[in-house]
Amino acid sequence: MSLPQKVLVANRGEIAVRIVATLRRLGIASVAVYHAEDAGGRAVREADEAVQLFGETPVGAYLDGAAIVAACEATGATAVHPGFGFLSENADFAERLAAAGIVFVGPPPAAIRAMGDKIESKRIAQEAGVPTLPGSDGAVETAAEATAIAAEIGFPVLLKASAGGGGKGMRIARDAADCAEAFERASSEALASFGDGRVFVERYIERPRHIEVQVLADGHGAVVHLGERECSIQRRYQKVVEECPSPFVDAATRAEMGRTAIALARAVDYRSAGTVELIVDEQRRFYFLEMNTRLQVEHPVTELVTGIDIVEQQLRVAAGEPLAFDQQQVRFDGHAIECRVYAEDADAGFVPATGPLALVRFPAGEGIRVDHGVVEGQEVSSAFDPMIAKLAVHAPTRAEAIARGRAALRETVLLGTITNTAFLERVLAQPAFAAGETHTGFIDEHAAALRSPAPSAEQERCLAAAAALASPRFDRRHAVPEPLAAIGAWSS
Amino acid sequence: MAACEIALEGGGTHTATLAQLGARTAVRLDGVDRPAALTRAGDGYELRLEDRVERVWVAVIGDVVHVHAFGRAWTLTVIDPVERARGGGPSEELATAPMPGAVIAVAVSAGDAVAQGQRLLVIESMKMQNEIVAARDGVVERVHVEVGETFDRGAPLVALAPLADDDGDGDED
Repeated sequence: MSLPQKVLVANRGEIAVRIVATLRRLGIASVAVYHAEDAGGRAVREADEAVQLFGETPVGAYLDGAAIVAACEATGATAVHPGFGFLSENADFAERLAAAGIVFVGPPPAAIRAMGDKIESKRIAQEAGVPTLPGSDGAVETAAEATAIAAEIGFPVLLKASAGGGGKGMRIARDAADCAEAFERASSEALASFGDGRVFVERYIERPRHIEVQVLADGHGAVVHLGERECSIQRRYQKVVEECPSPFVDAATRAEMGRTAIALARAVDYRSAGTVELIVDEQRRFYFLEMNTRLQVEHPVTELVTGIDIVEQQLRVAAGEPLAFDQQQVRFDGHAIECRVYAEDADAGFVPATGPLALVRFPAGEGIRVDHGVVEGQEVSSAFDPMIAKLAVHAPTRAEAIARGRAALRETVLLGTITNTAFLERVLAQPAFAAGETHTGFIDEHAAALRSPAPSAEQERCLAAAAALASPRFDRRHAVPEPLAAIGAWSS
Repeated sequence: MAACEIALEGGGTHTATLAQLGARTAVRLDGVDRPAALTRAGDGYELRLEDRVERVWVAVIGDVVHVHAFGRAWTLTVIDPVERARGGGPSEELATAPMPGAVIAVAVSAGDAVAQGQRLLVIESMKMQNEIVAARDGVVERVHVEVGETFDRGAPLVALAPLADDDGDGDED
């Protein structure tokens, strides 16, 4: 089997740019697809060809499987890499491609379906010997039913959407009184986000960690794991800082997690890259959460530590190649940390922000990897997820990776909208983070220390002076600075 | 020209004007002349203020000046006191949309008394639900939106009736 000659990337933003980079390195021609909102984006510039998609909404354009098949036919692309989100876990789309003779760079449709439903996947995990949390046997229909089950398994409980992901449609209930409202909110959010309001109930672990195992499987019976990622630093149930390896996982736990993840992959005849998400309690007991049958947002930390290009492996497996290495040959070198840079106001409950990216400067240098899809001057719109970039750092030790990450965040210049870079730097600066005391409540627990500190009087004078010297409002007859990066209209 | 005010988000407001000290430019900040210069350096600027030198990046968008300094971004707004006297500013009277979205639930109706922090609406933006709460105690004058309605950033959502006796110190009790 040989690699395809031309691959269409059915995604946008930083992940489309990242996939195109591997395609280029492998000598494979790339086709980007884009909605008009992304016409000026970096993905369109980086790809060899680009095809515009149309839709009732910008997101809808990227979900139009028929249009993507047509784009393949128009450009001669023989394979589609779906990235993550959008059509990446859509088994019908994978089948539609197969029917058109196009390779889906991902797992078999049956594996997507088996892992796509939280209730079904939990049942399969139990059969494969993967530990699972006590909870409802299936979907719960009413608030009363949820409350009764919760009382049986013991509070606190977590209510979460059966079809969910990314924390949408999830609520914690600490007692029976909480449970009814938590059920209604989780269910309505699930219905709005996924068109499926089913919710299930399970034991909530206090101070839990989210740790996930990356697996790779070929079509010839080989399955390996690429170690774990610690993804416990979350806000609104969404990851913002991820690292590899986890500071909490010891060698024995790592081996056991890897063995378990491989067993689950085998149970669903998995092929391609996949991630088994685990919830880990304070005694290092772990339980199955879900399996993501796609490339993961935070895959760069694994790539930095193992030196393995996961997108390349996906392409090779999709082309029918066997994995070129076995478990013993997977090496873990140093420590990597990824910070997700979002347009959002961390001091105002992480509300998404919009606005122009008037000035963009990303850090570069040894051990720094920036995955981004933005172009200076571009608007951050509300049409898509407000992630601007992923800033990943790699260093020999965790302490050095933290120091490198903090420096890189301080050097990340994104002006024109509000971003979370300073917040992320404060997360990495927390003594508890340095001590590896990460859990999913970390951001809430350290909320006071994570707030923006007030500027010092001297800093404030510097900032006011810079504004006065830069603003066209001020009389510029004297000592005019050189032209500034001024955009937009102003009147005097 | 008259001095302008510069308001730093998360900080204070300062009176500023540019002045000439012999051959050097100074920023007159809250009445004190401080020699200052902003010059191109690398991909950004170098700010000199008295004997301090800082590496900064600047983007000017209308009257908003975005500055990256001390490892983070700052937002400053230049306010002309004359213009401000002509127009209004943001108020606690009206809850507006912090971002585009849709209304999931309406918790109040016109005539309801509300307390500061009380939930007025639940909105959904980017598939996340957020509560819109009352900025102060008061009485709801008008709810501008209905369940299911979509809105843009800045759209009026819920108006509170103006305080009857607004003598400036806001002490109603």
